[in-house]
Amino acid sequence: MKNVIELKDLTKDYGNGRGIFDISLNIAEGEMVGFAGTNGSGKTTTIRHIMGFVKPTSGAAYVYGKEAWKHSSEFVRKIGYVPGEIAFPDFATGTAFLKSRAEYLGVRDMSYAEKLIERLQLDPSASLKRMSKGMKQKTAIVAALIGDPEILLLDEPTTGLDPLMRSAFIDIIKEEHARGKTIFMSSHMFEELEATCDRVALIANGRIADIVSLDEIRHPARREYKIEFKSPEDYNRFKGLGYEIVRDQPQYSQVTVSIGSNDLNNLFSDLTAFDIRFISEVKYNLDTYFRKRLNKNLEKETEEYVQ
Amino acid sequence: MFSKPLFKQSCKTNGVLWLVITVAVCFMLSCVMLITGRGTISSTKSAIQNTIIDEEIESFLERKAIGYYDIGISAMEYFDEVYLSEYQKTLISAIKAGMPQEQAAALAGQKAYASAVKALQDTFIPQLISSLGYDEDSDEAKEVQGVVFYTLNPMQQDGTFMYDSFYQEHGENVIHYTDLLAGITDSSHAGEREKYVMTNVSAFLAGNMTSKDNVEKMVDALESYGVTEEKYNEFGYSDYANLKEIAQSAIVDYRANLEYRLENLKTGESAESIKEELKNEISNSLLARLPEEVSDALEEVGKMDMYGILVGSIFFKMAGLLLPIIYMIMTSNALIAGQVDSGSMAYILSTSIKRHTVTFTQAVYLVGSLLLMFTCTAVTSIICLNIADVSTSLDWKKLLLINLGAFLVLFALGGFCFMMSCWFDRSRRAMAIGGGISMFFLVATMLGLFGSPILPSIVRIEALNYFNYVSLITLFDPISILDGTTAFIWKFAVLAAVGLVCYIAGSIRFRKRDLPL
Repeated sequence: MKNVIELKDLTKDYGNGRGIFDISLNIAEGEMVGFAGTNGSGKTTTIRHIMGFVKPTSGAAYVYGKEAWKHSSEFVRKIGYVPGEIAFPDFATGTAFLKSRAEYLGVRDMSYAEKLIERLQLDPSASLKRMSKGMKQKTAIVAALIGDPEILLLDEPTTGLDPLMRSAFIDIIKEEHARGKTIFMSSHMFEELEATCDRVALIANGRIADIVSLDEIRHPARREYKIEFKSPEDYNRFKGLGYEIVRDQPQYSQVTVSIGSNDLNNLFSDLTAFDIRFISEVKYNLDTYFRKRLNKNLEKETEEYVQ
Repeated sequence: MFSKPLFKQSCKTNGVLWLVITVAVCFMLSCVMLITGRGTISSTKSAIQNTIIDEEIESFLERKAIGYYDIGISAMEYFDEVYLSEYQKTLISAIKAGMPQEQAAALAGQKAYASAVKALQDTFIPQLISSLGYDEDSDEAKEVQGVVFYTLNPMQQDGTFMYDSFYQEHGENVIHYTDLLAGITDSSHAGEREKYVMTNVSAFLAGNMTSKDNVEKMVDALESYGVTEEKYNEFGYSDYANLKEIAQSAIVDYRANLEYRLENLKTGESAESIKEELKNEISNSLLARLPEEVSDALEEVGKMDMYGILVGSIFFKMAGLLLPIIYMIMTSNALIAGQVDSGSMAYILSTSIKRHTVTFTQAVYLVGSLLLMFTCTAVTSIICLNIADVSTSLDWKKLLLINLGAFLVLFALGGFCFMMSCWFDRSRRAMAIGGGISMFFLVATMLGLFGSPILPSIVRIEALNYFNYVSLITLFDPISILDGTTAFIWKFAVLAAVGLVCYIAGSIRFRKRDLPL
């Protein structure tokens, strides 16, 4: 599959350690990639490079093989962009703004936009100035999708949306993805990336810390279960069975075991012999994954620092 | 290069401001032009103007009258001299030839008269003309000749007098010099002769000055003071009796003074120097009597085209520029920096519109809206000029040039503000620098007005003229336009060049910079 967006050693040094450094990331056609990171970690800067708004210090961003800084005008039309900070041109109403968007993009057929407006429960006739943050966000989303672009570049698109709207939005994004669109979406909320993306890149302090395929997260090789026994005797007896225990809490007679999916049946058949109070799976998700990952990095850095 | 939707968007977002400002400017302009055009601009000015003209014309007439009198007197003295010697010569030779006394006297009289006229014609007049340094065919030479002959009013061969009809036409009681010749040897003759010359010279002058040709000439000469023929008539300078009165009283003054001074001749004084001194003294104009600075100032006020200055230098260079400059500052800022700062520029740049298309389109909008604004003011000002009834050197062509100048000022300042707008991320900074400097130029021009030569020197503060050297608006030169000189053209070119360079520089900067969108 060919890459639609390619970031090659993209570096923008704003000085004092701010900026982005050596970002390399390829996004294939039809792929949906999430971009996770804390505030100020460089997500928006990276996206601005893809749009060709910023000139990289070194490296380059390519879209459809075209260098973004010099040739952005040749491809931006195919990108639906939702900026991180929503600011509309000085139009009176949302309708006027959306109409002007359609005119810019040469879109005649407004039926898709109307469908989106309906799904997002947006009232575009409201004054742009008086719109709430969520309304503005919805308007921005409609404006980005109005030209039915091949690529969606979304910079924290769900901030300001209430949970219901967020799920409506995520449904829309999923549909767009299913229609074969390439999507690059930044967020600091892991759940929504987890729910939608094929891959997620984690950026920390301007550098890519990790890129993970969500298949690995959703179908991990090993799972963890927390088990609490009714009696300490059972607890001690279980520990003798030789399962890999990642967390041990004797005061509650609790253990957390890590187990390969093949051994799951063995565990349950073993557990029939014990009197247990509860058993629950410890959810393995992006959040825990990146937490671990970042901690590991931090440890490494501290080690390096100590050395 | 040009994006229609973007242009449309700019029109929509800035159109209301444009409309409000344009209506306001046109309203102000028509108020200024109609209200000041309705009444007299300043009663002081017209009083000064009238005084100057009155005094100037009067002293001009007095000088002429005394000059004519001098010529007349010396001509008649010369005439008498020739007449007497010829008379005696002829009389003696006739009596010797045995002619009876009475017949001889009549013959001598006739012959002497003829040769005296001839001597005046052939000797006196050419000598006088060359001593005064005139060309033989010049108007001045003809004038001298006219003075001499109208004074003499020579008798023709058929016994009639050449200029009787002229004097009769003006209702004069004609006295002929031949009547005076009988008593030529009397002691009272000199006095009689002076009176005769005075009467004829002043009648000649008055008659001459009231002739249609000369009135027109005078009005033409005084046009720069704003004098019309009606005004000239109002002063009474086309009235024969009035003119004669002025001339006579000047001559009487001159005669009396001259007599007294010649009787009490001091050392080092000659008759010539006294005559010259008296001539200046009596015919001194008001302006010549005042100290030079004051007279210059008065003359300046008299000559000033108040209406033209008000419209050209005060309105279009200052008051009328204020609102368009405010529009220009706000719009140039909103077109680029405002949209970059807020982030809405992202919506424009994400539609395959190139950056130089953005700057070009926005610059076209800015320049176009300013051009349209000044087209409106140009039309308004031309209409108002036609309604207003005022004497001014302004006409519709000059008004168009003045409007073009004001537009070019806005073009140049707009270029600068546009460049600043392209330069900075922060719209506040762009506005502070671009708008601040534009406002500084305007304020400097206002202060500079008090030191600029358009103000009469009485109220001018020369030191403030330095402000004119630090303001770009100084390159707009309505005075040159009003005066019809060409100095304004290169200044216009500089303004246009400054603007163009700024637009291009801003556009290049915008293409090369990072945008925080």
